[in-house]
Amino acid sequence: MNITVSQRGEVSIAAILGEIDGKTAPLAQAQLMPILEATNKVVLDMSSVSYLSSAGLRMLLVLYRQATARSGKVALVGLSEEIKDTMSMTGFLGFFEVSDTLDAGLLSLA
Amino acid sequence: MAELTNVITPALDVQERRIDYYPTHDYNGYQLRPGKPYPFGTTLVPGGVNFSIFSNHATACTLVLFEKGGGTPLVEIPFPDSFRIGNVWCMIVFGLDVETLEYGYRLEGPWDPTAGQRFAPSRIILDPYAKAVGGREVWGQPPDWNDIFLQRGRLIFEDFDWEDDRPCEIPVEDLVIYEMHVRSFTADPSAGAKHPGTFAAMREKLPYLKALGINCVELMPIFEFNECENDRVSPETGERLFNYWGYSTVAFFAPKTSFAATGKFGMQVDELKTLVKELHRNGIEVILDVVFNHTAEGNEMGPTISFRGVDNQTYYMLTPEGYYYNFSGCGNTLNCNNPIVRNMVLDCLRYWVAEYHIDGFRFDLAAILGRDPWGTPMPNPPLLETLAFDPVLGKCKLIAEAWDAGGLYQVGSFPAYGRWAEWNGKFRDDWRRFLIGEPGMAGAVAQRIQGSPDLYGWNARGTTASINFITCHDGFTLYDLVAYNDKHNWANGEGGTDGGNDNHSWNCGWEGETDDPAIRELRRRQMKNAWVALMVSQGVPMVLMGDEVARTQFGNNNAYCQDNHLNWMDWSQCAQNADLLRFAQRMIAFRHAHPVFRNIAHLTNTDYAGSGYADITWHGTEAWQADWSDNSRVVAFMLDGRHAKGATQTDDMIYVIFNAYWDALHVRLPGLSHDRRWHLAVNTGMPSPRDIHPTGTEPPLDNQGSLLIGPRAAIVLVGR
Amino acid sequence: MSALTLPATLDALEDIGQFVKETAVSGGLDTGAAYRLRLAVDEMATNIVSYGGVAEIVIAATVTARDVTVTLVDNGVAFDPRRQALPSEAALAAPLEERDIGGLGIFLALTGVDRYDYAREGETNRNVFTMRKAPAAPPT
Repeated sequence: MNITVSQRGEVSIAAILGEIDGKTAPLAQAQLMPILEATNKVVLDMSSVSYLSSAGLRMLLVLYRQATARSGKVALVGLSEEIKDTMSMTGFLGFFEVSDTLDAGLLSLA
Repeated sequence: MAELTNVITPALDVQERRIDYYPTHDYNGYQLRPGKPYPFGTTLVPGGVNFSIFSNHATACTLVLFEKGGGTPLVEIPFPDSFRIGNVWCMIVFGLDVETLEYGYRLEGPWDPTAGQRFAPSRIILDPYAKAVGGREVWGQPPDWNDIFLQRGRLIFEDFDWEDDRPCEIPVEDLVIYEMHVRSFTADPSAGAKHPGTFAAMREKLPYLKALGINCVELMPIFEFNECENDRVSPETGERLFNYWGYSTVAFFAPKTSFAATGKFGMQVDELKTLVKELHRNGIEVILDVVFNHTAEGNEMGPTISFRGVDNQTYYMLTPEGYYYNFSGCGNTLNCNNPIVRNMVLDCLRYWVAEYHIDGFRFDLAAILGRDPWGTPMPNPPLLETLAFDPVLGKCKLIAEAWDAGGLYQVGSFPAYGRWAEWNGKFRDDWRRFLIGEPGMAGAVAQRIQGSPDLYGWNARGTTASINFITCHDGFTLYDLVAYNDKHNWANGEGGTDGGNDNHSWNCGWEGETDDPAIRELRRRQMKNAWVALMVSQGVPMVLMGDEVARTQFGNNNAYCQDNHLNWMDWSQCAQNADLLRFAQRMIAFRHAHPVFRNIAHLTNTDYAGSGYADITWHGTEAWQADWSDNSRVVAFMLDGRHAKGATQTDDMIYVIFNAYWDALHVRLPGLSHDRRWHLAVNTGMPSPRDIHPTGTEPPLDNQGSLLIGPRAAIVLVGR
Repeated sequence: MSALTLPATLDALEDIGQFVKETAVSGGLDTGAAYRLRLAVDEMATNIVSYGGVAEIVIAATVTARDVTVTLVDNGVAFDPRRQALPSEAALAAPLEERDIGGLGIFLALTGVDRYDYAREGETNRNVFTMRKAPAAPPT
């Protein structure tokens, strides 16, 4: 798992590559948390995430809670069907702005 | 929304300061320290997991850890003697992967069956407090009986984001309960569910439940059970027979993994909690059917899964020779009034209320819960009393199936402590017998209409002690009640002898399916009559899944083992029987619209509100002249709207006439005071859609003085 | 026994016709008998709903191996059609425009079926129409 961060205006874009499971979720959280603290708007580009375990979902929800506490926003883009499905059935999906493409994701934070 | 309270503070720097977050021992590279005895089971602590298990008779204990699905353990860690406090072994293990870990125990102790001791240290034992169970993720997949550990304890995160949800606390008299089986609801292809038979699929069907108008679902067992515990096939089809309904618990703290589409990812807990949260959002409570009378381990011939291997003598009621008492009819009897087992039951229910926001419980064969460790019924059973007075359970519904398989029948006499309600078997039997036209039933149904004061009046339990039902999972469906005289249980593989014989059913002229329109019409009418009976009676109505669309089990009155169309809801019936579905929806809405059906105290037959009418008055074919003779098959009653909910609310006048006679009858109506007029809400003799009119659109009767009621019909009038 | 309660209006006639047709089919009546039964019930029902003071009408049917019975029940004033003067042979022979329509309807109702009975029970009128089934063909 690794994360590439870029900036588009006031929005930080974090593109995650690989699998997020119980082992990698804390690493992802450690990298993403400072980004949230630095900017109020973050897009998580999930299009290259091939697997997301429950620990990964929880990491996303922690980020979301952290962002809302600072009046920030987190948007998810490029979720695979399987991940979206799991998130929906376990109630995680409803918390996030979800878009298919990066442009749409940026728009949702505007 | 209390967003701020949900902010998670990174606790790393805080954690570093606490002494008990550091290991003290090392076992083959696993970092350990002495654990905390409470709470039992597993608890995530910073950096590790606290494991705690009790046994009053074990001599030693070993923690066995697996990688998910692993054939051999990762490690077996014997509890150092210093980690035992009293009879509890507790240990923190650091550095575990919560998501992929599976765990069990080996407990050493005597093998002395006559003394009740059956320790089996060669077996790996499931933690009785396991909060999730792995190993059986796919429904119906035959288990590998050679697996050294079939049902495996798993760890869960307890961090579900409930937002501001909590149990609904709908007043019990306002409930309309829908008894259902999670898998049966959506397993059939006609459900069109993405993941058939799961919690997630049930959530997809919430609009259906909402439209039906029920405000409480009672889920047949959803604690982990092994549907493959039987090894039998149907003599009719050769298909495998299952322990389908699930009245055979393996783990009381764990949701059934294969009822979750995400069970294979270990996310069954989140999926179920999401379902509960969504149900609550739609104003629907969740009651769980819990089976504390026995476990899946059966008698001395059964498998050792958990309790038997942890502390047989504590968990089970044993004869002086060490055999299992069988008050449950299922091989063993959980020793519920042993203080330790009682505490486990309490821990379990508190857990489901606190962690899953469950609104109430229905206790299978609850009369057993009032027996002492030797099987004798107690006048003041500590378990029932404890549950009734527990603060965490303080607002939840407690419902007893007030009988057991050992012959104890306590309908009306179940120890209630002002809290317990009962499945009212008398309601079911009396209404069934009245509706098929048996003589001598008019007086009995008059009691049922009033909330059964004959059963619950003597100790002032009120109407809400009575869960009113005409059908439930045990016995015929509503359609089968009007389509079969006799049970047809051959497919269950017990020679057709299983299931009850006192069905009080009538096939309306032909046993089973028929094209005869006359028989079909009569069956429809009889089903509608039953819906009316349920919805106009005081007490708490409960309906069985599918009865709103004439679901059939083809005469099987005990389909406990059938994973097929005998249990599954056929969603195409929603269109085929749209008129019945519409009738059921409207009838439920009618009850919700009229508080006069939902009194808490029993009706008094007096005018305590000073309105000029008694709260209930009784009539017959002549107004003010009830006929209670044996030959009477007509019961008519009037509810005075100013006595609604103990005269705290004002409602319309309601007049209800049941004609269980086989011929049409002329009925004179009581006059209404002032400028009120009778309006026709329901007439089951009329063809759909004139059989029921939505609240507010009921047409006034042309003839306010009398009417003609058809054979075997029910009429409901609203006076306003 | 199937049964239907209907508001006593002209709209009920369609439901009654349908009910009799279904009964005749399930009872195995031949086409001619089915037609005469429907005509008889329809004429009597028309008479009942056209008469004032009746709110509901109940139609019920019983099928046995030998016959098909349809019963109309209403709670109007007592009316035994058998006591009404039936049209005379002369009246029936009269040209159409001179006939008494109502009387003819009752006539059709009473004579088209194999058996007709009337009873006044309490506050209700009961008109019972019976058609015998054609005997089954002898086995060959």
